[in-house]
Amino acid sequence: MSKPSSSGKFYRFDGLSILVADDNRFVRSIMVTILKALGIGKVLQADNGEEAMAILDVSAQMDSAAGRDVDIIFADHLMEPMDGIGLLKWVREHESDKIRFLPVVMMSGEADEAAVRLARDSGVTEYLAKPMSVINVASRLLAIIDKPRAFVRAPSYFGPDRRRQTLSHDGPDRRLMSPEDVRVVDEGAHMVIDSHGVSGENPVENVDGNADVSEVADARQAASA
Amino acid sequence: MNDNLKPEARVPGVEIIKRPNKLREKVGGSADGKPGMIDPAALARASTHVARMSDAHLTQTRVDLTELQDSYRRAMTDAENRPAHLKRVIKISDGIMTLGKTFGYDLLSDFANSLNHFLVPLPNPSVAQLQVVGLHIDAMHVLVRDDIKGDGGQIGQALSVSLNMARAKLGARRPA
Repeated sequence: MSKPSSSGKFYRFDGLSILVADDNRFVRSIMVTILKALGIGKVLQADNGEEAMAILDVSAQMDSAAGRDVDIIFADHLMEPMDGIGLLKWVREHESDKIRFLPVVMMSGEADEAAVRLARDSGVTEYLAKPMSVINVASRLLAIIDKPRAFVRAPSYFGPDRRRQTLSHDGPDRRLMSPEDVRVVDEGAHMVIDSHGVSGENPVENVDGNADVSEVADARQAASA
Repeated sequence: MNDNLKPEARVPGVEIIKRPNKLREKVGGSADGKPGMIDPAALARASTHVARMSDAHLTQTRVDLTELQDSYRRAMTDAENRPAHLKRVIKISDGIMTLGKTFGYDLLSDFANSLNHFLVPLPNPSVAQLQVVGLHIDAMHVLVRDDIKGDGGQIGQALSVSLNMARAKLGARRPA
């Protein structure tokens, strides 16, 4: 697949609000320095997962027009008293769409496979393996902006689609779901999600009717995830 | 679809929720959908600002090392609360690891990282294993005291070899 060429435009980050949650004050100050220098309009800070939850709860209650919404969360994996995974799970289970769909970047020095898998299966958007650097932070910002993934709600998972690529598979079909089990919700920002609303007559239900063949194929593949 | 599955084995539905990319709109992404860029001047500015924090980093690392030494000492002497003290050791070491490479102290980051990789899989480390932790802390003290950056040259290599041997001898895969 060819890589999409750049528009040549520079992004302006002054309208963005980012929450940095890390219990290491110096790490936090570096993150704030990097984000401010990149032009992020507002950087909020939390000392741990619990403080982050309080800030996000306030953000959820704010009128979006006031421009006080948090847009992205950077959270440390090893925070105390609530760590990054706990915060991530809380975000993904939040009742407000403004919170549960937020992009979450997990920052950790413990970037071994088990730690990354745990974050992925808890609904993380991006993983930032420490050490901290300007390029590391900038690349995660660009990934969130340019390559957003659809959200998947499955019986045991809610979060961004965990598949970043489609691989061919020559072995036996081991999928547990059929197309009847999948519903594509387009422009789902204000939808009330009903996971039992799939009918047999409408195998892959597309709420606004705009799903094309490839989307249905994607949906079928997702059913096997 | 696997047709051999009984109906009762079927799992409930999946939803794929596609949301408008509001973030892209917010940062002024182009209408043609092509990815934008970060102003190289902003990247350079950020790097400069971070580099200016190097003095503060050294100060912070000295504080961290003192705390690390203290938590380690408590872990050695207070067996009852050893897991809590070692958790603190891992946390402080993670902080040192995070910041070292950011400011050019690659070996410092590597030693902190090695310490954590050694300690994390040990639910109940022996005294001998704890001494390996102490060796890592001592080595980190040397790097900071002598301001050893990068790979540390010959001194760095000698320290690395010693620590590697200690970890290999007493790591989690061998009985303590």
